[in-house]
Amino acid sequence: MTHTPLAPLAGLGLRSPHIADVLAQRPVVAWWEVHSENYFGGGEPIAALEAIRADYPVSLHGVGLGLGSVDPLDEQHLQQLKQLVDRIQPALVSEHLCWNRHQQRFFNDLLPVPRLEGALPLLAARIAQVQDVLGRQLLIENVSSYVAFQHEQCTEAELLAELVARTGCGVLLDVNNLYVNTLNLGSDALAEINYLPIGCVGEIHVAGFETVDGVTIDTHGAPVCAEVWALLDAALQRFGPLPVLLERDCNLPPLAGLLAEYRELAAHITRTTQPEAVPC
Amino acid sequence: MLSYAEAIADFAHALNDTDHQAQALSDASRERIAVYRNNARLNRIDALPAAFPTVAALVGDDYFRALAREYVKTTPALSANLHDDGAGLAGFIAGFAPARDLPYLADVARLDWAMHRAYYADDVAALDPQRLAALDGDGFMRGRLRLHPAVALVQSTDWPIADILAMHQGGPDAALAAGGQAVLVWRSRAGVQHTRLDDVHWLAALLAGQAVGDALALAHTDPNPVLARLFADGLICDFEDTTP
Repeated sequence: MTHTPLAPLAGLGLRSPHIADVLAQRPVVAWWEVHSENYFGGGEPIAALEAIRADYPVSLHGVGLGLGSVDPLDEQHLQQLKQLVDRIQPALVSEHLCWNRHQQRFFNDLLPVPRLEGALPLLAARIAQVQDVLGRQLLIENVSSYVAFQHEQCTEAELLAELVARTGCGVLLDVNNLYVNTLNLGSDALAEINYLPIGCVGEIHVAGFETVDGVTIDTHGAPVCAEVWALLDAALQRFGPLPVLLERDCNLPPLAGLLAEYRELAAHITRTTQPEAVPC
Repeated sequence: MLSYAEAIADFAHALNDTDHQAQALSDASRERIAVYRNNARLNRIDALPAAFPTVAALVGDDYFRALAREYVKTTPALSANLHDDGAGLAGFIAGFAPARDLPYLADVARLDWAMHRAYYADDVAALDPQRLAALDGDGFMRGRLRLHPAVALVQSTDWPIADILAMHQGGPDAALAAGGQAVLVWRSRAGVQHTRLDDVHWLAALLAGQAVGDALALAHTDPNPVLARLFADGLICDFEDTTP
């Protein structure tokens, strides 16, 4: 069973251009999520995150561990993550179901894992290694993918469910990524949601995407679309109330604009999970 | 049918070599590997200007982007963390033919990089002064100091890098004829700091781990103001007592 130490409320992705405003204004946000790598090391960034952590729950979301790489895990990266986790004491720690390194060379992106013979033991061993070092559960996020591999043996949800069973990790369910994959690869987002075991999801992500040259790109650079709202509702109905994060990375609006989108998400979650609380 | 490891190797090959067609990918999606090639490259290119603000200001945004594109094309990423990615840019600039008419650019890039590293350097506790209080003067001179990882000394043999940095922070125009300068970079509670230093050999020796006395013997001017600054900002992190 996945622990959800965060209340089942809307959270907001915190990016560095907004940190000074957040520290000055202390807006009403239930929890923040940051990219772990931006706080590796010391000095001003981590001091600011500690100040935020003093007033809010924080979730650490990694983009660089590359769990699915065939190369061994980058020990230095893992130790930096451990130092950050020990210092910030986050509510949740998550990473992506992806790889980013081959023969010592890094690719700075979230590359999809081939669901082929050998995927499961490698990924399970890496997740177990990280959970052992951190001494806590890791949530693994499904990714958006622009390519499919030949002869794949299972769906992403099937792979995630097996990783949950083998390692005790949880799932960070990104419903925008599910929708992007339906557009690019013709996958079935609802079937993915319905395959995941109840109880394994610890957090949900919503975001927006953009279309470039006929390919739907998961840029986190636009508001959430109607289809993604519908997938969020389907996920909340299946898994029950959960913390839901609004992610925004590109075309970052000023904090006030982002907070307006955040309040829209918070109201949407309330309508979905507590319909009786809304009059009329 | 490929194994997991074989499919990853094939994908990586196609990311590195645009002529390689990834057989691991479905026919319908094979061409879309271009999205990943672009993302991986653009993520690096987009991150570089923040680490090299003075270089970017000197050459302008378009020039810097072209430079970053060439750097990324020819230099494999050696970290998943984009904040580490500019480590080789100064060396790349030094050998970059189109930048030959800007011969000071590589040294300015080293200064930008030192300030970027100082910003993200690990927090390390300052040395407990009690450790030194117990020593006699000779013991101190024989020992070695370990400085905070944010401390860096950037020296240019030929170019006035301190004046160039100052110019881009609102100071007067730099005169290239002023010749070589050195800049000390460090981090205080107020953030990343820098100052021009004219007498640097002793500090370079201290940073390189030479005994305190041997380093101070190289000073031509009074080193105490700099040492006092290092102590005041908590940048002396350890003392290795070499007394037999």
